[in-house]
Amino acid sequence: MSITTMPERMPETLTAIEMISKSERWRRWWLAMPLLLVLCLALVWFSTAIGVGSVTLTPPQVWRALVAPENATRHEIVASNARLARALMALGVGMALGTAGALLQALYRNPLADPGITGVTQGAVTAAVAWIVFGPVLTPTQVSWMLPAVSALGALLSATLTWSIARLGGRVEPVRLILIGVLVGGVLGAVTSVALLYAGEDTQALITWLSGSLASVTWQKLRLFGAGVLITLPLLLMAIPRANILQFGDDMASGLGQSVTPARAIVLVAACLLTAAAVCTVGGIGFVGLVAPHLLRWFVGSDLRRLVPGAALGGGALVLVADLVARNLRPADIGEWLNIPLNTNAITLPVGVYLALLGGPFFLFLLRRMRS
Amino acid sequence: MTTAVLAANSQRVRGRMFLGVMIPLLVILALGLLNFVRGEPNVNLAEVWRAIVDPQPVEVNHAHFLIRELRIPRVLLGLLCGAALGLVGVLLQDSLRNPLADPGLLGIAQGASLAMALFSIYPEIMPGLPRPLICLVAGIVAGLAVISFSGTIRDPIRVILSGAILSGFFGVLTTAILLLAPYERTGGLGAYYRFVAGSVSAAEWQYLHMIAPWLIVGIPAALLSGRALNLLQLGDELATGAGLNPFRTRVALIAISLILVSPVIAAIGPVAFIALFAPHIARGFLISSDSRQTLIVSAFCGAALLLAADTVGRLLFFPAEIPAGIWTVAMVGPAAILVVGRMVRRREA
Repeated sequence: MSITTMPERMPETLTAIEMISKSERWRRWWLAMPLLLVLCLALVWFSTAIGVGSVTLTPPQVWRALVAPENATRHEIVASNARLARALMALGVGMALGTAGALLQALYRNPLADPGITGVTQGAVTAAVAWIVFGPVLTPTQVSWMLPAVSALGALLSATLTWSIARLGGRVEPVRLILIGVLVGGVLGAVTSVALLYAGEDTQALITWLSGSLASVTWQKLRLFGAGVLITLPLLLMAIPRANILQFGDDMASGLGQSVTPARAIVLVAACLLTAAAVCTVGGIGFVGLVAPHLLRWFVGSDLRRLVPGAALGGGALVLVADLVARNLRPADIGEWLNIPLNTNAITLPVGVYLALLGGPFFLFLLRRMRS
Repeated sequence: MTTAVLAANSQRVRGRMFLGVMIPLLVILALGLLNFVRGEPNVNLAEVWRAIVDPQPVEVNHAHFLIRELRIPRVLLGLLCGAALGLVGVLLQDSLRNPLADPGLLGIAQGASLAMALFSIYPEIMPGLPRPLICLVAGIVAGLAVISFSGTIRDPIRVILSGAILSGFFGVLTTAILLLAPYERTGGLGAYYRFVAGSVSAAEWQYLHMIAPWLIVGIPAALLSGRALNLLQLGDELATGAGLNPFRTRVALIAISLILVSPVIAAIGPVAFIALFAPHIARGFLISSDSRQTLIVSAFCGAALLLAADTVGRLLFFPAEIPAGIWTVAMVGPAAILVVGRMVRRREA
């Protein structure tokens, strides 16, 4: 009986679904717009980064140098190659850190969380510095293979330590995790300083590296970084929906059928690995993971399926801009102009300094917004 | 009956207070003597005694010179700075009713240290300004920035997060200055430790002369503010009822703590965790939360902690020296982690 009456109702129902799906499709397009804009921004900065430098190259010149090197002059090839590696690295590092920041902010349900203050970056940095200073003397090839593994291990160890201390008091609460992460990061910072004492002639280079520097990027490092990110990718794809559900809070998440603790572990490990991949190539770069997810959340909302790509592209664009400044701004010129004696060896400042200069004021602005 | 209980109770309170002063004092005496005696070269106690009582043969005797010009000022500087930090911790924590308040966690210490690095590497920017004054101004600016932007310094969790981010910000800028400055002005790694981690190793009598006037004003003022702190701990309404203006009192107390912390940062840098943790140790000794007692015991605990960190850093890996600021983090950090864990649990309950 009911079956026979159904067809009469069907068309109406269908149109309703159709209407919803239509508006949904529009909504999706609308929400994808900021992502496209960020993508364009990243691409613009990327090509600027390749073109601008001690020798300015036009896009056709760059293209020719990369695609048909036999027609290009030698300095075109050299400049394009070096800049391409550096720009790719900046983009990649920014993407990894932006993603890690978005994941951690969802995990801790706190907009101030990022790999830098929750101890994850510090774990990777400490492990890498300790390995460089105290580790066995290796050939450069071995070093380049071992360092990423060591810093990934360091990041994971620091996260595990944070986790197990937080678990001492019962359930693993986000608030406790984040506070203990901050303090664990502080203690690890002290360990790094001790390791620096024994660094000898590497000290200056290590201090530069501690604040994050893209000056020593090579194609080999880039390949390693790419391999690391590729290994993490499946985990990242698993982490995004889980982090999305965790955002709603523990009760809601378990109500939706998500077992909370394993989900948290997956998200944390994904964030750790991405951070470690970035840190072991460019050092303790900060503020990207804090700023990028925030800026993008205003435009795309906090659904991680959109926020993660957005934060990744935003982070990439941010590091590209900061590195463009770091590469081309010569503090020595400003020092000469202001008549301040400067270290003649310091030709440029590490990119981390400019990111801090961008990120610090942004953070104060953020605090002000949170207050209201 | 009641008076008997009260009397017994007050006796216990006084007993714990005595314990809280004596134990740090014994630690200080033992470590102080160890510091005088050990080092390059080791000297015996008789020599130390002669160096202290007999001012004459400084130029003649190498050991006398070492003890009088290096070891004694170093121990004294560590003790005074530690005591000042212990007082600052109580002042901030009890007046803001935030058990995690600490100049380092508020970002003030790193901000002041950034200014210190700038002005001591480039003294020609502002010649003739006393260093503690520079720290004071920079600390006030950094503190005002945090307060005006966050609007709260009472929520422990937001304070600790903002402080961590701001400390990172100022730390990177300090590193940038150290990287840019010519080597002969910074002296390399030593400057990095002084301005980023904090270290007592540069101690000379001249530093003691520098901090003395500030501490002569600050320490008595801090010790006298116990009553106000007690009232503020009760909550703003009760404090107002007792005839106290909570806002003005709080500003005055923060001003006292800035007066105490500025010379410390100028002399030894942003040594972390002492101001955070000394009051917690003091409260562990005491059975009352009377700030008048906490202040005194915390000053002794802070002095003992900083001296211990400096002694370990100087003697543990002997010819190599690890700055005190690193050891305070390494030794006190784990304990601070436990305190935070306990505090968060209490918040949830």
